[in-house]
Amino acid sequence: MTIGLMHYLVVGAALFSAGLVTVLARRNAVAILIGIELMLNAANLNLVAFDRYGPGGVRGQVFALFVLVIAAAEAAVALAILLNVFDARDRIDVDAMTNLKG
Amino acid sequence: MLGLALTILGAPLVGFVIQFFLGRRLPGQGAWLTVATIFASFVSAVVIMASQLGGADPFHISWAWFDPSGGGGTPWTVGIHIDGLTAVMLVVVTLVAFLVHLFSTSYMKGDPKYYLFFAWLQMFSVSMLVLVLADNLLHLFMGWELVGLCSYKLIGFWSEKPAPGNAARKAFITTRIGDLGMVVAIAAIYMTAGSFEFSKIFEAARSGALADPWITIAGFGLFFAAMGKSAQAPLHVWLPDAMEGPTPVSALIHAATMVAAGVYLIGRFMPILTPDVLTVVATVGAVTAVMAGFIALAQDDIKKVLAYSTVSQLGYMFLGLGVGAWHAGLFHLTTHAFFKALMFLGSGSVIHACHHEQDMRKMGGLLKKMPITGWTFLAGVLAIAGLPFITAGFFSKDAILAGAWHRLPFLYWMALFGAVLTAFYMMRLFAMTFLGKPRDQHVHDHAHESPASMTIPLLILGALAICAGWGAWHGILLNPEIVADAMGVTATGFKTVGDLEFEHSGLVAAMAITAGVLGLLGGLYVFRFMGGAALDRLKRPFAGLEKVFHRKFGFDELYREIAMRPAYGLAKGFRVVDEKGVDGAVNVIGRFARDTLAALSGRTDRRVVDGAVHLVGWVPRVLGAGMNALQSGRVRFYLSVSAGVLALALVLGRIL
Amino acid sequence: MKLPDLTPYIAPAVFYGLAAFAVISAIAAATAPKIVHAAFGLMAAFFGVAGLYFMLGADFVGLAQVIVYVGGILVLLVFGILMTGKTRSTLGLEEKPKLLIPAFVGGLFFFGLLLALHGTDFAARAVPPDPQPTTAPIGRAFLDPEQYLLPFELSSMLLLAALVGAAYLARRRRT
Repeated sequence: MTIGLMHYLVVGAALFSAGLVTVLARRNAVAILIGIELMLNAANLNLVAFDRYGPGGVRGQVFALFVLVIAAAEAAVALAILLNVFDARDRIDVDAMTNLKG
Repeated sequence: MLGLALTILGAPLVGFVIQFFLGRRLPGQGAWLTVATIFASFVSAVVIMASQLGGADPFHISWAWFDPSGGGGTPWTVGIHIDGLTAVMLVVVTLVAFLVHLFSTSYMKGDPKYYLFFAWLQMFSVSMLVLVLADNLLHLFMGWELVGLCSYKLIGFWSEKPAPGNAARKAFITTRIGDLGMVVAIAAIYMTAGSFEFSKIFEAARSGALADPWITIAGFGLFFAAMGKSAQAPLHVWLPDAMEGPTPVSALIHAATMVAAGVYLIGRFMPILTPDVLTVVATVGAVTAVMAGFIALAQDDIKKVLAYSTVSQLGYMFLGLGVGAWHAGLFHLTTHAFFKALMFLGSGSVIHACHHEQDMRKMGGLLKKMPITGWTFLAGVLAIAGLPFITAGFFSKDAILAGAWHRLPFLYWMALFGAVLTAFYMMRLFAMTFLGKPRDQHVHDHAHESPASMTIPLLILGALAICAGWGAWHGILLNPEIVADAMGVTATGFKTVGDLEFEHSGLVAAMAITAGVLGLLGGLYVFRFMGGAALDRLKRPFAGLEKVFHRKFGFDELYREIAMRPAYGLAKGFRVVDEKGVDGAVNVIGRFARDTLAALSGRTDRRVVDGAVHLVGWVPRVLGAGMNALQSGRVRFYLSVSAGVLALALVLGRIL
Repeated sequence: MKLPDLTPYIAPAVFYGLAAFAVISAIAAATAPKIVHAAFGLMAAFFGVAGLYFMLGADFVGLAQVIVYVGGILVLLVFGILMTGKTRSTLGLEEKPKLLIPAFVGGLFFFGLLLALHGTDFAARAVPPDPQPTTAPIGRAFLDPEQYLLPFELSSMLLLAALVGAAYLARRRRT
């Protein structure tokens, strides 16, 4: 009845898949960001779990913190872009953003 | 030595960074800065060469870069390697680059992107220097690709016009095809020799670790890369188009950077080239030399003639390398760098004076108007034609011909014929541009001698085009021992190159002299003294041939048919499928199923079959709707497909 | 009457509780009809993951998770939702996400990940040592030039660039 590395990895996989579903299912760009954050969190969970069950040190946690920084930067820039899109087209439906289709 | 090497690299690199980011605000837009930095490089290169030729040992230093195995393995390195070959290349590259920089200060005056031009010129020089100073293949490859990138930026410098952009893309893509060979060669060498370092690769070749078939594959790969970069048939098509760039860029590409890279690569890797590879190198070189000579004969654009003459001379260099007279090939590289830079800058001076007129048919009689340009240009023409005993080109070309005579006599005859052609079409160019009566009075009236910053480089290069074959240069570069020892070739008796010494037979020299003089006099007679009518009469029987030459043997058309058209067709096809096919098919299937089945159902017993038929009709409709839904969300649809495929791969990878 | 000793079951129970909470919240975020509800699902998932971090002995990362994700990113997202919310054209846009195909793809992906996990030996320790406070080691690792000083400084540059870039992009253009 001990909790091992595999348990955490399975939770991580589930969170990641949930994030993927969010990204695929939603048309609202903010919702897609939500999905991306879920996926990043899943990866972070794996990093911290590996750190805990690995050879020691804080390497995994340090990487998790870097991922956190990236996520923050990404969310800020993405939202700024979305606001611009919203200003221009009055909607943020990704299915309507097809200006670049071939 | 390390300090000097770092100065060579660092000074222009600093120049590039400053010029690129701050150049716009510098007084005079910073051109003087880049001239100064490249001059510092040149001085360092001269010091290095003096010490190398004074008998100093080859210099080598390397630093660990990173360990690809993650720990405990042999790390990849970056490093600097300097021997006789490197030293000579360094001097040639920095000298020509310096003169081109100087020349450009006047030539590009008034261009809206003046400062940027110098930034990229600097980077171009840096790239080539990285390539030359590299001590390992990976490092060399970086320089190689940087050279490609800078050539792209500079050929397409006037990007607001369509032609330069297209030419830049053509150059980039064509050389990229050659780079495929480079990647293959790097893989083959690293796999067998376990290192990128030159000395270790040669060591592996001697010890037999790098053996057939890999050594042959590597050799062909390297040569294929060199064919792309150094414009050998059939990958030569980009070089003439590269004339769309500013003329100083052409001079740099043709003399010091870019095309010299391929010759240097083959020269550097001489110790691992097998006899088969060398035979191919020599044959491709000889064929290219003659073919490009024919094409040059029928061009009217002054820069196009020069471009094809470069292709042809590069062919000579590869011929020299391929027949084992590799010091002759490299010697020709240096002399060619001088006289070709001279002629390109000279043509730039002419074009500048004639208000960007490049058509030789509108020139003529310019010698009086532009004496410095004209006479220095003549020095270049005589050098490339190989006027005996005094010009640099004579010595290097003679050495190549002697080598060919020694090993592959058939190619010797081709090369000899090419030599006649070279002298002939170069004289044609000179006669049409500088001699005779002006054909277009307007252009002629406008012409004037260029300012000193343009004529000084011409004078320096003119002197070099004549003297570079004399005395010290001659003795150093035609002495295989000096360069070869540095390469560790003769010292270890590596088999393939065999005896580097061969007799300079009097017969060969006599034939080469005859060829050069014959071509020059023939050209002079036909294009200077023969009148227009007589010339037309002379040309008439060759009209068909001239057309073929003028069309450049149809390489561009060939590539358009076999490569570009199918690619466009494919792209169009995909687009049709994407727009009509997928959506259309889903709709058609859905409608077909619904309509036919519904119609069928009407004719049969409604009460019994209705339910079943509705079910059957419903399935395709739902499927169609589902697939339509897939199609509606563009980004998400693509993402779904890729995620789905990835998931499938994960699952199947485990199950199978 | 003697009660059975429940101590060995406490940790697994907490783990399963937190894991279920996080995963269910994440699924809610994926499927909730309203986007605001999805954001709340995300917040719950963040808290669940933070709890898992604490269970893993990563106290600093757990706290950073709560502060940065819940306090920062989530607030940002909610602002985004508010500012791009109800207008004529978005009304009725996000009723229910069409879940059939995404759920299938996601399920397949999850299955594939499970298979991959199942077949891989991570050489993990079965019983890790007792957790120690991590704040000090992490701080040292970040500021040690031998370790992560350069990436740390670079990431601060990145954040600055993102800040400036976001402010620039989102500024209101007056035409």
